[in-house]
Amino acid sequence: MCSSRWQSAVGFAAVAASILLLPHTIHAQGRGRGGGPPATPKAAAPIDLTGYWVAEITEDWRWRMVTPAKGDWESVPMNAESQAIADKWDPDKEATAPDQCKAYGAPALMRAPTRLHITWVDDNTLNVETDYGQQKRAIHFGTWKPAGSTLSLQGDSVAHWEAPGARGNVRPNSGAGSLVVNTKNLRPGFLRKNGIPYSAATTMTEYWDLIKEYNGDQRILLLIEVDDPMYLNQPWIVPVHFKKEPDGAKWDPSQCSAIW
Amino acid sequence: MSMKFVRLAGAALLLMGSMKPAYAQVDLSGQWAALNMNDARTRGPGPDLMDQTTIPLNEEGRAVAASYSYSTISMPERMCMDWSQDYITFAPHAIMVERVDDPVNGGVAAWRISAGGSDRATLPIWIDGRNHPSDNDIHTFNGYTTGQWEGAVLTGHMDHMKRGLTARNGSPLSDQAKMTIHVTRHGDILTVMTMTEDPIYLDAPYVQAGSYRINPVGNAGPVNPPCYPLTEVPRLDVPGTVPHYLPGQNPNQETFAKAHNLSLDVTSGGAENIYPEYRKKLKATYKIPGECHVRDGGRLDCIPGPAPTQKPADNFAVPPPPPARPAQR
Repeated sequence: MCSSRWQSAVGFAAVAASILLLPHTIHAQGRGRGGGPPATPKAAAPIDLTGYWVAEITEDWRWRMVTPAKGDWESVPMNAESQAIADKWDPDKEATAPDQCKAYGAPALMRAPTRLHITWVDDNTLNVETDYGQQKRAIHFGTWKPAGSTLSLQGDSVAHWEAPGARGNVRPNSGAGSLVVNTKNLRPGFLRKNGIPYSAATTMTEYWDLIKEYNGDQRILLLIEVDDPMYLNQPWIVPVHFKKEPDGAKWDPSQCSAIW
Repeated sequence: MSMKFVRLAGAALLLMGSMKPAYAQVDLSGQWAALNMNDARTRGPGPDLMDQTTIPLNEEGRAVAASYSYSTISMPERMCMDWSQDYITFAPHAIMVERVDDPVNGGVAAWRISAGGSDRATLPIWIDGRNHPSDNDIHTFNGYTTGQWEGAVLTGHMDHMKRGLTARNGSPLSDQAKMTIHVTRHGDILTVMTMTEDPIYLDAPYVQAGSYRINPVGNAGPVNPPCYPLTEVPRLDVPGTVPHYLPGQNPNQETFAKAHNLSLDVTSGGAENIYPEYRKKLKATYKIPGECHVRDGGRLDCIPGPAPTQKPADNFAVPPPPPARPAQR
C-alpha cells in the first residue's frame, strides 16, 4: 500500500473511531453537552417509573391475594429452621398481635396486592409508596449511606441505573436501562402472611424494567431476589409485574393486617 | 480543513448512520434452568383441576374449561394439546436460547428458544425485519414470532398459533390468540414475561412471568421427543369417544374451591380477579383454610381439617372394566 493511501486509511479510521466513541464518552461521564456537572440520577434516568401502578396477581394468587393456610409454603426455598418457625404460626394470636405489619416489609411488600405510587422526592431519591398497608420505601441514589445499621420494616435501599449489557453507560430517557436496588437492614418479618420468616440478615436485590406494550399499556417487570442465609436454602427469585394506571383514582389506602 | 478530511468525516458519519444501535442488545444465549419459585405447583405437577383463578376467561372460556377432562390427552389426535406454544409461560422445564446469525451481514437474525418440554419446533424470535406470513398461512404449535430490542428488553410478537391451553387443566386458548413475549436478562437470571390475548376465550390480556438461571452444564436440547398419548383413563375403546364433561357435571368443579375456602366465582377465572380491589369481594367470606399436610413422597396438600386419610381423588380412580367385545372372527 502506498504511503498516501495508508495515511488516508489511518485517518479515516481515526475520525470514524473518534466520532463513534464520542456519544459513549459523554454517557460514561454522565455530563451534559456543555460539560457541566454530572447529571443527577433523576435527570439521568433512562426509564420513567413515576406514576401509579397496580399489581397484577397472576402468579401465586392464593398466597398473595389471601392469607394462605398454615403450612402452605409452596415455591419458597425454606430450610428446616424456617419451617419449624412457620409451623408455630397461629392466626388467632397474630390477629391480636401488636405488630400487624410483619408481612409488609420490603421482601413481602413488593409481591403484595397493592398499588404503587412512585415519585421523585428530590434529584437523588425515588419514593415507592403502597396503598396496601400505607408503606413507603425511599430508594436512594448516588453516594447515600445509611446513618447506621438500625433495622426497619423497609430497610435501607440504594440504587443505580444499569445499562443493557456490560457497557455501563445509560442515556437519559432512552428506554435502555434498568433500575437496580439493593436493600439491607431489614427488620425481621414474614415473606408470607402465614408465618414464613425472614431474618435481619436478609438482603434484597431488585431489577426494575419498563415494558411498553404495543397496545399502549406500560408495565413494570420487577425481578426480586431475596437472600436470607438464616432461613432460605437459596435466594428466592421471583418476577412480578405492575400495570400503569392513568392516575390515582383507584388508590385505596388500607391499614396493616396480620391475617388479611 | 482539507477536502480529504471533510470526505473522511463524511464517510465516517455515513458509517455511523448505517449502524444499528447494537448497545441495546444483550446476549441471551445459553442453557437456562427454570427457577419455578412462583406457582411451583402449576409449573411442576400442574395446576389443580378447576383452578382458573388467575386467568381472565370470558364466559365461553369458563364453559370450555369446565368441560375439560384430563383424559383428553389419551387421544392421539389431542395428545399434544397441553404443551402448546404458550407453554413457555407456565412450564417447569429448562430452556436453551440460541443466537441465530445472519450468514450474509453477520448480524443477529433471531433469538431461538428451545421447545422446553413441548412437542413442537423451536421458537425463534426473528429480529431481522421480516414480515409475518399471510393470515391464511398454516398455524403451528410454535407460532410465528418477530420482534425487536426495546431498550434492554427483547420483545416478540407471536401469531399463527394453534388451538391449545393457557393452563394444563383445560383453560382454553384459540387459534386466534396472539402472544407478546418480553425477555430480559440481569446477570445470571433470565426472565420471560408474556402477554396472551385471545378474542375467543379471554376478556383481557393474560400476563405471566417466570425466571431462569444460567446453567453452564445444562443440556436442554432444541426440541423434545414426540408427544405420546398418556393413558389417563377410560373408555377410549369405544370408538368416537372424546372425554369431556357436560355442563354442570364436572366432578372436580368444586374440589379446589372448597379446599381453599373460595367461591366458584373466584376459581372459575375472570379479568377482575387479579386486581387488589377484588379482595374486598373476598373479605366477607374468606376464611383461612385448615393446615396443610405433607403426603407420602413429600407432596404438599392443603386440605382443610386434619391430615387426609381419604383415597386418591376420583379422577385418578381405576375405571370399571369396559363391556365385553364380541369375539373377532
